[in-house]
Amino acid sequence: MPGSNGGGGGEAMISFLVPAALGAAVLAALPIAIHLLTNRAATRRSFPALAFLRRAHAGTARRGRLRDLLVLIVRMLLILALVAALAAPVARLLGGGGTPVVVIIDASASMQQRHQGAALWDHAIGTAARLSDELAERPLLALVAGTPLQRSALVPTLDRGGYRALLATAKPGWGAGANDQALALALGLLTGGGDIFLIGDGSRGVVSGIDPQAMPPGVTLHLVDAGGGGDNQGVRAIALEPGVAVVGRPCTLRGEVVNHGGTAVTLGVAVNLGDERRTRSITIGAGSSVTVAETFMPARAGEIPVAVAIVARDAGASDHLAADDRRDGAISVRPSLPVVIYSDADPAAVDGPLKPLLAGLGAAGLAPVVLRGAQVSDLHQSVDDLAVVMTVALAQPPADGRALSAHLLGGGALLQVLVSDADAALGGALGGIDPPLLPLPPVDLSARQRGLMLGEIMLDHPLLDGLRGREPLLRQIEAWRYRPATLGVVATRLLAWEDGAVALAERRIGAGRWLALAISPADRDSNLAALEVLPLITARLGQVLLPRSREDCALPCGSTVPSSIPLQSAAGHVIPVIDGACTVAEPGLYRAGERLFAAAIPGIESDLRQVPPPLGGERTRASDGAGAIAAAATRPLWHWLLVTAMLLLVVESLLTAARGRREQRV
Amino acid sequence: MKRPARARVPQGGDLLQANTPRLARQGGLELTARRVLEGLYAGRHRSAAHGSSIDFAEHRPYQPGDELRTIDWRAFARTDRLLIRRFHDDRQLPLVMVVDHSASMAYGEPAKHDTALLIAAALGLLAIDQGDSVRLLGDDRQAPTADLGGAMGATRLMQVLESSRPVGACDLLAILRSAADSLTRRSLVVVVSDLLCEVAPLMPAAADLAARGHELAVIQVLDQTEVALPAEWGRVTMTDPEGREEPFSCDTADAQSAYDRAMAAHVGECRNLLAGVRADHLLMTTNQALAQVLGAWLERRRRR
Repeated sequence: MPGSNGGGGGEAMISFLVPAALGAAVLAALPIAIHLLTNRAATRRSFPALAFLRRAHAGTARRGRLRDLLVLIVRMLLILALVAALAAPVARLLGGGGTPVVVIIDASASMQQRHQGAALWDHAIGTAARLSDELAERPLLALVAGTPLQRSALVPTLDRGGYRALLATAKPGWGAGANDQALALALGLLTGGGDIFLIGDGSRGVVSGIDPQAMPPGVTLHLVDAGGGGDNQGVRAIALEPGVAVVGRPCTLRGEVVNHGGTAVTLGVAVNLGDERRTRSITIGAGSSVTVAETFMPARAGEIPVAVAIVARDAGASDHLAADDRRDGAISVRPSLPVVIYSDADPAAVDGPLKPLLAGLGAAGLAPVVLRGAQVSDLHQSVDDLAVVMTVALAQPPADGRALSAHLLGGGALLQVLVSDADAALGGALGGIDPPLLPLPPVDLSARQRGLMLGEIMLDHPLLDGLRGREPLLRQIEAWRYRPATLGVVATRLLAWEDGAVALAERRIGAGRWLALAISPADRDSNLAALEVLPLITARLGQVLLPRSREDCALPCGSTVPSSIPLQSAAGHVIPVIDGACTVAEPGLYRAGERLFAAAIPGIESDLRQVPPPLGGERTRASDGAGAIAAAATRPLWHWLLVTAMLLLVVESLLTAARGRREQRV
Repeated sequence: MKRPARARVPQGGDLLQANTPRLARQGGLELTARRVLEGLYAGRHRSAAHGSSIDFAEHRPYQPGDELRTIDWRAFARTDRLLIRRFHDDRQLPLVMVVDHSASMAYGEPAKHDTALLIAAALGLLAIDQGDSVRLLGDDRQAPTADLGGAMGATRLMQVLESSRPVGACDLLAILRSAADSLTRRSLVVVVSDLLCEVAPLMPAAADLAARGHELAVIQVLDQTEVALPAEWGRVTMTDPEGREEPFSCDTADAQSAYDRAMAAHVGECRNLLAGVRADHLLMTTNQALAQVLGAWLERRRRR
């Protein structure tokens, strides 16, 4: 029996799980009625040897009457035993009269799932209220195991005012329950023994850490199941593939829909990306899940809400945790970033610099345009947010480099660095440091007269005008990578600015060629700063530094988000800032300035996994206090009553078989 | 000595098992009794009224059923006729029968009275067939008969028996006393009754009969349910057919064992008391094969 380890040691109460069956106890009068009827209906017989019979009967009449009475009593007891067994009696051991009781109510999000027309929470509150009535003579304390933990009083008390008030005002949260915490508190209050009633849905990780058999001596833990327990369907998780969405590029939203019911159900599931919605019907077998996936092509950049929701259910589907109907999120759709590569290098050359770069960019979904130096004039076309411009070993600067630069800079994009092929110039710029394994000296950008040093390169070019004024933001990264190359060694240095500008300088030592790659996120976020794209571009680098960390948009409900400005929910509710943080209590989309994120139900709650009951425990259902008391720490007695009934049947058979034994003496 | 006319004996059937009192009640008493007789003859039984002696008295023709050892072979050699020797004491004892016609004899299926009549008829016919006379004793309700013999006697015997009805009471004591007074010849007195009464008061009269040289035999006829009370009757209200006892209710399952013992003790008492006055006792139930039981009894008597 759950938590039945001796308890507070006191009274034992007998109750009946099916008290209505006790009404059949009137059948115990049946043997009496039959006896009276048969007596009255005794047949008359003419019997000549009446005198002998009378004399014989005189000696046996009393014994016969006694036996009749015994048989009658045994039959009545037999019927009563069977009736009592049908009523499913249970004996429950509770602590003695004055031992305290702590009632813990699971306030996790899963308690909001509905069962038999009401939320599990309502069932649990009802159970807790009835426990108060049933245990009127015992000190009582209620703990609502939510975040934060709420209690009706400091210690168990006979005063029910606080208890009732807490039951009336407490609500389930959206976070995981605090049952372990509540249990620890209860154990601390019951050092002298007592009973703990833990009322929950019983199918979550609520009690996974609780071993009812491990209660300290004198304390009995009663696990009361408020109902529900997995007969639901819901959206378990939502994900985006690839992890970053880019305008004009396909991205797939995936949602996992789970069915914990006992039969297969057919659901209508909608996958939303912004205003675009795709709906499909899925059939999920009992206890299994289905992943729905829809591919979208975002048409605009920015924060776009996404969701996977259950929108229709068949008749076989049951009530559900409302918030589990859908999983909301937000994705940051990045602007599409065309890539233009200026290079005279042969893009097909295996050992050339362009081939791997083009491969990397292609893998990222980018479609670079390679322009030969001689085609600079083609760049007059308008490109939005130019991502990468790189030059490789231009034999000579393009004739119309200025025009190109102006164009690029006008778009707030990148800087094209043109370098010469002159090792001597580079060596001079480097201050004479030549060994490939030695770190290069830091860049001194203060020497304006020398142009802008970007890497080890003296950049003295009108194209560098766009970087001017950004020197104080420079964050120098000692990110070096040396790798052997076909000809010599390639040394790469990464530079990054606070505002997200990143510069790479690669020098092929010994080859006399320099590659300067400048990446600027401009004023807008660029997915190039995102983890997925940048490494593709800088595939040959051993280390990448993101200029800015990006927080995951998914936050668990109940978490506290550091913020200096209030959060505003998608519905317009404002969550104030308290002590520099905002507590997100409910799932949904929130915005703090430019930040957009989604608060989701914690996995432990939103995940409808069935958690097996703790070792040694039994799941019992209780819909009211009397039922809770009867179901918790009970021992069924019906089988003993059946054994008693069988024994009574044997006795009855023996008593009736004692008649009719014939002795032939003649 | 006048030879009694030999009555015609029907053939056929398992005569030893013949026991059809219903036929007797329906006017076929003689027929039924004859069937019983067939069984007795098949067992070579002689009349109950026959005794034995060593003093030669007369010859008579051999009849089927006579013992072969009584055939006088010398006479056969002389006369080519089978003759049996009769001795002085081997003479007919008048058969005097008393049939209890009290209301208690009406009990049973078949009724004890029917069985008693059949017994009386069979014994009577047997005696008549073998040259003995038969007399029926009675009381004020059933007048006694004279000595009956021959075909006419057999017919008369059947008429009297068939007219008997089991009603009221039967004063066996008075009948036995009157028998002691009225019987001038040594007789065999056979009482057919259920003896569901106090037997001890009858003993003086029985002893008187024995003292006067008469032989007394009592055939106690009971129904099987009187011998062994059926437990399956359950709760019943018993009434006395003779009205001597008040009705009362009981559960036969409860009373069965004690009743069976009480009845067995009563039968034993009857046997013992009768043995004390040198009277013979035979207990039979109405479901037994009459010829078999009577045959065995007659054989026991013959061997005594």
